[in-house]
Amino acid sequence: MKITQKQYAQALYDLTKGKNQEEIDAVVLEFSKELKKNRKMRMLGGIIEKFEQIYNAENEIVIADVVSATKLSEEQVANIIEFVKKKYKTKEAVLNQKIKKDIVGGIILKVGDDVIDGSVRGKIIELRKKLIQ
Amino acid sequence: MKNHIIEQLKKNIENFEAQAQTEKVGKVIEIGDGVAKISGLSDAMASEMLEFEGGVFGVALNLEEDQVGAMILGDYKGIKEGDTVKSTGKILSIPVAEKMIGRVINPLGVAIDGNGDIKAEKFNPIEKKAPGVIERKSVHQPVQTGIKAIDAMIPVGRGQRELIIGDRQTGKTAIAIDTIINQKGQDMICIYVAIGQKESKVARLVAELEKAGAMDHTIVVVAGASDPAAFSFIAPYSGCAIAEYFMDQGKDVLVVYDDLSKHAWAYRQTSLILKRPPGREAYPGDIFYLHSRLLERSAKLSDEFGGGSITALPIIETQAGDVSAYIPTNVISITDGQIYLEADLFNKGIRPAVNVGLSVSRVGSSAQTKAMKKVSGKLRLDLAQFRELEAFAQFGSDLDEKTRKQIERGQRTVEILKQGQYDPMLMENQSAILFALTQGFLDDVDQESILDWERNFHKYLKSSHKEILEGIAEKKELTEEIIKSLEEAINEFKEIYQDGGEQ
Repeated sequence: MKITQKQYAQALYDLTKGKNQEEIDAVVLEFSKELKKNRKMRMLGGIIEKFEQIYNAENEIVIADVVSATKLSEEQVANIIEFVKKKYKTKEAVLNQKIKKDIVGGIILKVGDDVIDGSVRGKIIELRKKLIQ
Repeated sequence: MKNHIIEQLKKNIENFEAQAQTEKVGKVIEIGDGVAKISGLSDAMASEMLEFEGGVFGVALNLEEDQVGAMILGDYKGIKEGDTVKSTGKILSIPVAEKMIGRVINPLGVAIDGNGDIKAEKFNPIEKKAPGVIERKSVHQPVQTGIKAIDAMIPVGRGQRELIIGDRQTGKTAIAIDTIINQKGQDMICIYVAIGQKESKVARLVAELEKAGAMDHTIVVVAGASDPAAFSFIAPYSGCAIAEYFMDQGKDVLVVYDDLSKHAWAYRQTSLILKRPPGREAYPGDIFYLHSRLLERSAKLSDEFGGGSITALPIIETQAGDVSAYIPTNVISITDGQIYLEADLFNKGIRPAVNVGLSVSRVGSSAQTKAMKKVSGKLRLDLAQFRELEAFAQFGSDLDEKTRKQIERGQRTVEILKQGQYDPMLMENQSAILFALTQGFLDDVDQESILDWERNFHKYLKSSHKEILEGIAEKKELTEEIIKSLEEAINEFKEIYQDGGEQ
């Protein structure tokens, strides 16, 4: 039977759950050897991605990508984290910040499949659509 | 004026409030051949519209564990890997409007005839469940195709699905176009769906329809040969969605799908690129359902539901007369009969090249007018007997009297059933000439001059015996009285014709 990336990732998570650093190192080494033996090294990228998803889901962590035109102040970051935690009902939220000048102002928040576009550029596009109508 | 515009703009902008809303997005991970694979979009619905960057739309076809396979409706060349895709939460729908009548549109409801935009009155989903048993009524009103051979022997009723099948270049489209032309003044809206057709052919047809004044009741939906396969795939469903809009208002609609073989090819292409497993002739497993769900939407609604109808004339092109190929057998079994056109007959000059023996109409006879019914029974018999004896025709003088007569009658019948393109005939004229034929009035007319005789006969009836034609048109029946005056008129005409040829 074909073993999927998700199954590998789940196995890795189950093996490392609740272990200390040393044990984890050993498990990961064994896991890599197994992958190599099965000629599945190509799946590694996908497995890491899936592992992250499983880990975050189990530990109630959300990863949020924030795009802004200028660097956000610490207060703003804290506010965003609070907002994300509340919206997704999780214990912890991690922000990945990115600065993109062409959104002009505001922020774009991305969590999983959800995108909240609060940028000035997005609003201008909306306005254009409305005016065309 | 200038100030006014500026004021208006200001007002619009003042009222504008953009609220940041949560949107569901995915990412393009693979793109090519009109199909995209998208990661994310975890709660996309089947056949939901997706919006790509740049405003191109797509339809979610394959929903997998962590990706979505989507068909792109439009130009996919601007889309690149990594682009974001928004879900819209709407099932694929197209605008429909009364104003579409007389226009040429693409399968997304956008006008392509250069006569301006069409304002949508309503959005109809492209895929809709067909009316159920309760909403339906059996077919009981005729569709007059204006073609003698069809109206007499393979009658089509409103709400019927009659397949037109034959090889390339046997006049399939011609029959459909003649039928559309003949619907002028018959209270019927026609929709011609061109699927994967040459644009030049469509342009010619539209010009022909315009010339005949038939565009006033016709909508042409075009998915050209150079449009993406996705367009060819949705074109018949779009046509049907527009037809349903009119049917729901209680109107009668005629839809021509030209042709469903190309539709099947387009779907096969999309399915194979989406990596759905191929089956017989490499078509995907649901190719039967593809056509059955489309044709099932043709219906005659009962009076409580408005009494509207959709009559479908699907067209299938066979390869070298092979009706037992996959798609032809499928569609034959779905439809309520077929009009079978043969290349041999076409080349012999018998046009329309209908093979009367193999063509059937399973429900149309209950919709036929009484006048036509009266003459058509005899007609079928004459033709069937003729076909049996045809092989003996070459023995000429060695035959006994009865056989010779039957052969001669048959030859005349074949001659009368010939009809030019773009030349549909009214029901009353049809029944008059077929009456003359089946009652033996034509037996002593030279075979070569039959067409001329017929032409002059119609002229004569129109000029000297209008009341007979009006009587048939009104009563839709050949009563004793009408038969008597018709017989008299025919005899009168025969005398005139013999004396002077032309009158």
